[in-house]
Amino acid sequence: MKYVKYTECEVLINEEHVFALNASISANSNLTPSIVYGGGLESYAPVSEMSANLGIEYYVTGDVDNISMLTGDIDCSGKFGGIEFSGAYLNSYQVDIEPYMPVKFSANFVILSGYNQNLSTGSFDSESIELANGAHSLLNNINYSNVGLDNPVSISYSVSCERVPNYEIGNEFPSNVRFGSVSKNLSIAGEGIGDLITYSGKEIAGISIQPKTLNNLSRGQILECSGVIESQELGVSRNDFVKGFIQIMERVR
Amino acid sequence: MINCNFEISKFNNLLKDYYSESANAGEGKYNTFESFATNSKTDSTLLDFEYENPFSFIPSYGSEVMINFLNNKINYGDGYSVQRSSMLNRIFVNLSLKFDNRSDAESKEIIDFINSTKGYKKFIFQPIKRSGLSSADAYKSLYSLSPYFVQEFTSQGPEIQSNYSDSNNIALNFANQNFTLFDLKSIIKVESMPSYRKAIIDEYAVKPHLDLLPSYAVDKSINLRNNIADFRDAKIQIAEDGVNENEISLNLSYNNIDDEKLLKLLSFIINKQGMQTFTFDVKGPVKERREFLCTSIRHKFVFKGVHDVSISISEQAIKKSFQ
Repeated sequence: MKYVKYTECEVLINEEHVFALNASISANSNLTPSIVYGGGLESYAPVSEMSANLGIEYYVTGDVDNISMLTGDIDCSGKFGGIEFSGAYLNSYQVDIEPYMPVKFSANFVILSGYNQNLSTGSFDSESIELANGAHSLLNNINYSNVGLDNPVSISYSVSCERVPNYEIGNEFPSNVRFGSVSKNLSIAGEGIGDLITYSGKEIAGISIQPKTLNNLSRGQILECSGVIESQELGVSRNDFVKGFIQIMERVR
Repeated sequence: MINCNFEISKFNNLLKDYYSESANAGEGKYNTFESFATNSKTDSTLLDFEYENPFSFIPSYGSEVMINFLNNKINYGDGYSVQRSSMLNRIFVNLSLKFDNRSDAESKEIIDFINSTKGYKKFIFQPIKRSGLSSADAYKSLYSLSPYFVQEFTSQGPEIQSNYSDSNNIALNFANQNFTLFDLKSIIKVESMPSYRKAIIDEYAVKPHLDLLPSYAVDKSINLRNNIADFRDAKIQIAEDGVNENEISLNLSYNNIDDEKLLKLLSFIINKQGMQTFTFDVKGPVKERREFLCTSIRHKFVFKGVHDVSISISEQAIKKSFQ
């Protein structure tokens, strides 16, 4: 049993440290038991590739969030708790914003080329790593047009990237990975929802957000989503205000 | 009007477009195709050789191999029958190949290759070249898809599905009708392959009893044999038809089996040639050992080292074997 503290558990993506709030790596084999004629269990067999994922939640502490650059047709390598992996692809990237709270980023990677495992301590204790303070969101950093929602109280921005691995006979890992669809979703909660949408949604609505520190320094790139409003929700409960919620969808690719 | 351009003098010649004698000249190589065809299956150490422009793209999981033994069945009375060889080259090896999620560039190469064969030119399907392989691994250069040492095919053309930008699925059917009673063993066996694999093949080639258990579910149908007389202007008359009152047919699925069980099963079925019967124990609800015949086999590549095989076997009234 190894006792590895949070402060000793490095998370690296493409050789860069990530200020992770939490991180987890998971692997699942797709095994099927083989029950033979007569009733006996003969073996367990994998019927498809192993699914492995890395999920992290983190604060952005620099001008640019390099993880956000991985939404394209590009792979990455990394390390987590001594487990090294390569051939990882970002398939989900999300930013959660609430006023006057640290902006929380999260990313999920699908690992398609296996990994080396040796759970070990990292170097957070022994080496100093320069970390700038993270981003907070100020409402005046948000520009929105044609949204129809006042005073947003929370914003969630996500990018989904489809990765389609190409598995050839005889191989455990894919020979290459096709870059599929990319879509952005941005949901906002606030006061009101503006005009109700019709069955065809609402015409183009756009939002851009710049996460900044309390010192007004930029943290991460501007988050933009320009698409159609695909859903709205309006609700109220006793002793509370009317709350609205809208979701904007943008198909990028 | 149909033009037939067969050149009778070259119809059965042993010069192949894909085997260049100049490229295979020199010591340590099979200098002619005749030498290659004869010796590559029987040499314990495979010499060097080189094909001209082989098809080398590796298919995706989900691809299938079908082997069919074409026979003529002659029925006698009382449910007795024999299988007669319908022709010399009566063993059909067909590959149903999938090339999923391929880039535009790779897809174009695959399509161009198949189109260049014009549906009739024979070509070689060889994913791994001989050069660069050690003597111990040289046998792998004779595979199209392991464990099949069948490389010469024709193809009638691709089916293409564009999934997304720069992502395509291509389906191809490859056909080989070269094998006969005399060389069918070489479908899965060459002398240069590892001895433990040869031992598996040899053991199951001569087994009279199918001891490899299939997966659930097993479909069983019982055909009650009888004599039907259809008289004019009268109702149909059904009466008994002598001995062998019923025939059992079973659909056996071997799901998610490993390489070794696959090899055993292929050796067992292929070496029976669709003519020799074998025994199989039928489980509940009625347990019995009966004599069966299998005339085709379907194999699907599920994942690395994992295969699905399905066979249909039909009961025979008497044992049939080669002596």
